[in-house]
Amino acid sequence: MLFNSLEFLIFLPTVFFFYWFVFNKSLKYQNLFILFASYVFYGWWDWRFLTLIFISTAVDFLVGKKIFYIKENSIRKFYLFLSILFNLSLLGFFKYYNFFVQSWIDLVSVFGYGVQSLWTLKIILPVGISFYTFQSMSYTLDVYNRKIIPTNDFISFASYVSFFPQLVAGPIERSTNLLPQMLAIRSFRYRQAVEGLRLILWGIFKKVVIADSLAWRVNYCFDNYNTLDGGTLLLGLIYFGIQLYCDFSGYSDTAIGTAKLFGIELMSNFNYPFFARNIAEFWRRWHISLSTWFRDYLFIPLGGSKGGKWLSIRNIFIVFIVSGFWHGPNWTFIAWGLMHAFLYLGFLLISKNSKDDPNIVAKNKILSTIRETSQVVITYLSVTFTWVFFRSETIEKSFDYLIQMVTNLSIPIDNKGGLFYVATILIFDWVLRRDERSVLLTNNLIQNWIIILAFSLIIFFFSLHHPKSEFIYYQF
Amino acid sequence: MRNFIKNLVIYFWLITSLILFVVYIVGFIQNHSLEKSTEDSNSVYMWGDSQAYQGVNVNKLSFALKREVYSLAQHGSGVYDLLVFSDKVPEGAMVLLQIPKGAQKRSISLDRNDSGLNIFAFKTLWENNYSLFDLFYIVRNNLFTIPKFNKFSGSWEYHEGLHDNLYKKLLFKSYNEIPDYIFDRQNIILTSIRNLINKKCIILLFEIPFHPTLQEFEEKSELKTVFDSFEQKMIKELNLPSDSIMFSNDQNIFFDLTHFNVSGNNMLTDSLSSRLKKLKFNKYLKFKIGVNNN
Repeated sequence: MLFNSLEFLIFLPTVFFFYWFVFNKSLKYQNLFILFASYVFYGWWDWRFLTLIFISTAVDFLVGKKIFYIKENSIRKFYLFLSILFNLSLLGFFKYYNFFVQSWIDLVSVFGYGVQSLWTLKIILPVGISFYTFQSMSYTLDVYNRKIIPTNDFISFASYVSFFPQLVAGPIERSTNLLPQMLAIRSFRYRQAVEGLRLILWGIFKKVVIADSLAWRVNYCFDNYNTLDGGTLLLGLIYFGIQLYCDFSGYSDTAIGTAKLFGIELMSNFNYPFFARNIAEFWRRWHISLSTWFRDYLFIPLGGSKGGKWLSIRNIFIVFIVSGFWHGPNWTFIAWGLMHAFLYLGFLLISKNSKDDPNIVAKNKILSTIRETSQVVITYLSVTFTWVFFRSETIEKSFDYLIQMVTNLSIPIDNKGGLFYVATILIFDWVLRRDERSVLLTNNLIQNWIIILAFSLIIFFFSLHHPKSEFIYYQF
Repeated sequence: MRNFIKNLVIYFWLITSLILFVVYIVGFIQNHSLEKSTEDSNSVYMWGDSQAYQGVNVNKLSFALKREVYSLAQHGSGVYDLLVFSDKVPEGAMVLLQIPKGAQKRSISLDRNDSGLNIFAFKTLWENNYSLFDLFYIVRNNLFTIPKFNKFSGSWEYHEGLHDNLYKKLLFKSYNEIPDYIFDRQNIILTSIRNLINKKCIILLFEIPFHPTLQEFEEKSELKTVFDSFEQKMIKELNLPSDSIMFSNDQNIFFDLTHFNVSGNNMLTDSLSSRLKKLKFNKYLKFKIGVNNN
């Protein structure tokens, strides 16, 4: 079920009604209902894959208990290994199996051995598998690290794994944040619910108005890059960055907003990443739930930056390559991760002694300084160039695109209409940048109503104008 | 919670009113745009689909008739467009109306149906079994257009052999079965013509032929009977004198299986202009490909 679909428009109020008016007397029934609604939401796409979620949930629920109650460290480690192996096997089979087989065949053929690709299978990629397996895994890892006590309430745990607003495209929640909320009695709060609706509206606006308006312009550039001038191709990259951001952050905002309607607070996933002053800050603001997941469960266990220069460099490369690979079974994503690893390394070498500002740029000012502006622009352009690997089908096409763009660089001839949408989102983001949760809100009640109605109207007519499109991150 | 529900109700009431208001304004602008060019009842008004758009040279026709010729013919025209056309043509005007087979058998998703929001057209569709979903789909098609009668048409250059387009497969496939909505579409066409007759318009109804290959294919399909019986019904119910004219395809006059090229366009335009000059009563004219025995 898509957030921007008619089905969801009926589904959400129905679930809201039953949740607050029918099952509000008992937490147990409320969670059972959330679980039921989440399975309906997921099963709408393909009910057969509900078994995968259920098995993954059951395994981690049981393993979590074992890890906590067994004292012997080696056995605890064994159970943790079992959970990770199970989840990664699930992910490996459904998402990466064909990639590994094909890569093996390609490798062997380099040495002159022709192998028929009899081992590749027709596998349907279950929607959101990368998200819910990571969320489920975070539970056993947190139990192992003694950050959380395992729950005995299977229904609440299953609701945590499959909570429908963030089930298929995140934010990837942590057991330390979402599970305690599932186990506590929730009450309806007006302010929280209204904030949720605002976030939903803002998220759908980014998806329907900005991302979908740029989608065909991006496709045009990437489908015809051989015949286009460099300026137009550069626009294609800029459009894709904004499209991806609005598509994915739009989904996240809608998910966070929807959760608020049920009295649940999810973690932030985006915090104005295009105003980052360096690549490290960019990664603190882009897909936060994934980057912090890799930081906490991969980078730090590997030794982080405490084991000397070379170990830090190794760890940075591992994290970025794995993070790239998480996005999909294609060398392009690995190349994208690698590019970011190099950018990150470059930043570390340059900024050894400089202090990193945790605040958003020009937090209490209207405009940023020239220095900050140039930092933001350089970071933005560096990130923009890497999108070519994220969007292209193959590494060769990525390089062809870049070569065509650089060797024919000129003032763009066509496809300039998308700049309106780029400017729109950047201006809105600049105005809203102090708080990613308080969107479309002023101190004046009338103004608030006008803003809400204007945005709703724009979304309505844009959604009629564009064909319904899926969120990009569904495929990951 | 009570406050929340109350505000939600106010929100939905306001947004629905706003949407209806915007739709009303859009419809008003579209009607104004169409009416601006339809004040002159001495002009000739043409409607049809891509066959008419590519087959009739509006400028040439206008020059030959010494009258303005306005056209709403376009690629993919649907019966909704025909209803709007019949509603907007001024009383007593001369009308050139193609009877397209495409608009009868094509699915709604492939129809253009974007001649502007029109209450009469929606009412007629509703009476002819169009669902709410279909009507909503057509409303959506019409929100972003500014329709107007045109003084231009298209024409494809002459070349040896037929242009092979992507829709060829789809075209042949469309003859495999009789869609259940085809009779509703035919009713709508009849309603439109009756509407024009009530407005005392003088109408020249005409049918443009397909390429012999497709014609031959059509002869073998069950749809042929449906088209033929509709033609007979139209002639009988509307009491139309009919005539048929043969075109020879010795010099290729087709661009592809369904459309004329510039040669066919010239032949058809000349033929129509000579008949329009003498037209005093409604008439049904069928152009055919073959040898003229008359």
